[in-house]
Amino acid sequence: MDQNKEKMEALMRPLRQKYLTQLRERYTVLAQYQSQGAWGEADRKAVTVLAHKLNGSGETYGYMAISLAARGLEDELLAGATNVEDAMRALMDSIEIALENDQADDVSVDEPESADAAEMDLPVILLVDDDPDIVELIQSVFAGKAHVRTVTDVGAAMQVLQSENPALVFLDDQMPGMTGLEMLEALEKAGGIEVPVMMLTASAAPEKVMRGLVSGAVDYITKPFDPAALVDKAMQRISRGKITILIADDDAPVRDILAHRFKAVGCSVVTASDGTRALEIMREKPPQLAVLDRMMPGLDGLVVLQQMQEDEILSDVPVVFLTARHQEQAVLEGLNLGAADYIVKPFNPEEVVARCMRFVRKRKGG
Amino acid sequence: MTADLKHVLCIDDEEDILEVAGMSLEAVGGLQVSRANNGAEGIACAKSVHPDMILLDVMMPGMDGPETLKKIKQDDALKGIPVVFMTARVQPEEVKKYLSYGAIAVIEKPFDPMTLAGKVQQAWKESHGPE
Repeated sequence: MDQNKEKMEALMRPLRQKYLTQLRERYTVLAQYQSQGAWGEADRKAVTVLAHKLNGSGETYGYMAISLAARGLEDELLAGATNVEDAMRALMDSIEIALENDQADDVSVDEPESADAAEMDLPVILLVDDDPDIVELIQSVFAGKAHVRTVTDVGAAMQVLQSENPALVFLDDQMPGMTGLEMLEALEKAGGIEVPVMMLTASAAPEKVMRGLVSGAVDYITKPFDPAALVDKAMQRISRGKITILIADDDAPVRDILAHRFKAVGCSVVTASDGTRALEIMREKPPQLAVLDRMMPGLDGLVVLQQMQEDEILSDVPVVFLTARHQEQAVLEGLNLGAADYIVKPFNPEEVVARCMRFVRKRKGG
Repeated sequence: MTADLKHVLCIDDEEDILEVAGMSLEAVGGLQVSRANNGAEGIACAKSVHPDMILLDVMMPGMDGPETLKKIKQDDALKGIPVVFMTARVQPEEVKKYLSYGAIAVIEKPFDPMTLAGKVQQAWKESHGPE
């Protein structure tokens, strides 16, 4: 399936460029309607159709914020709302961000943090909460530890998630418009969110806690909370988030299970279905540890390890092999070559994570 | 035994959706895909290529999806072809309405290009019932 994904991504690139060109045109049309003021019935219909089209296409091209904002505008228009100014603005903002990101991508593909945070060299925490008291408290307890970026509704949060790269999200549930849980569920449905999300909400109802955790929240904290404990939890989570684990295996369920377990302990995960892709990913951004299947199509785990050792940077990355029972002998070659450990399939995912984290800590000197 | 789904006709007035849906069904699903930009063109294309399934947008200018489906069902040569609607409006009552027109399934827009082919195959299998 990963090969299909790569193939599809390659095919999507030129289509996405065409889509962005069309987005510019649609933005111009929306701007004209916005400046026009009073709308007749034909105008309302035209904007409804436009919103419907953007709703139905944005997420397909990777712009979920556009689909969400367009759906909001379409729903309001279909419900007969007369003042749709805010929904129009939200849709236009989401398009602006998509277009700006496209321009930024031309210059730099990987912009890790907002300019302010980069200057301060602090991680960015996105706080999604409309309660000014909570905002003030969080801002003050994280002063000097993290840059807290605050938004008060889900639409704005989606835009920040697309345009910036926060290390952590604090998400309230009850907010005007879409709730935090609904946002999390929408993101989960679209394939999940890479950034760890901690729910921070007044409701401790088991049904809500369950919904939050099932939808991918890494923690569910109820208000009132202990500020010092919150800072500890958040900073620990952020620090773990800086640990990237590469998982290379041609067996998709194995990749998924391990990715899920590593993410559950706060690590970032990148995956590859063959050795060639694994090397490409690692050369682009070296991980803190690589889990390699011993037998893979193309370059197998052993060859990948050999190539890593010839690379000045990758030679430091600990490698843990996954192997079928009858391949244990072959893995000894890997250990002789410098692999940190090997794990025999079928494995206990928690044990894999525990063993891997030991090498990560050792490497960090912790 | 369920016959294999091989050939899908996509009908959508939006070029960007038509392209990505077609590409997804071809690249991920390994299907043959024919494309049409509106209902009338879609019906003409269906008569010419006789696809195994039609993937039909609901909201199109001129002849919309439901109207196109009605014409398909009135045509002896086409009425046996299963039709799947694609739409951004998927509230339960809306889905119920589309199914009552004779569609075998409704696929939500926006769709994920990686999973569209799987959904289409699922609809195909369900429409053919158990082996």
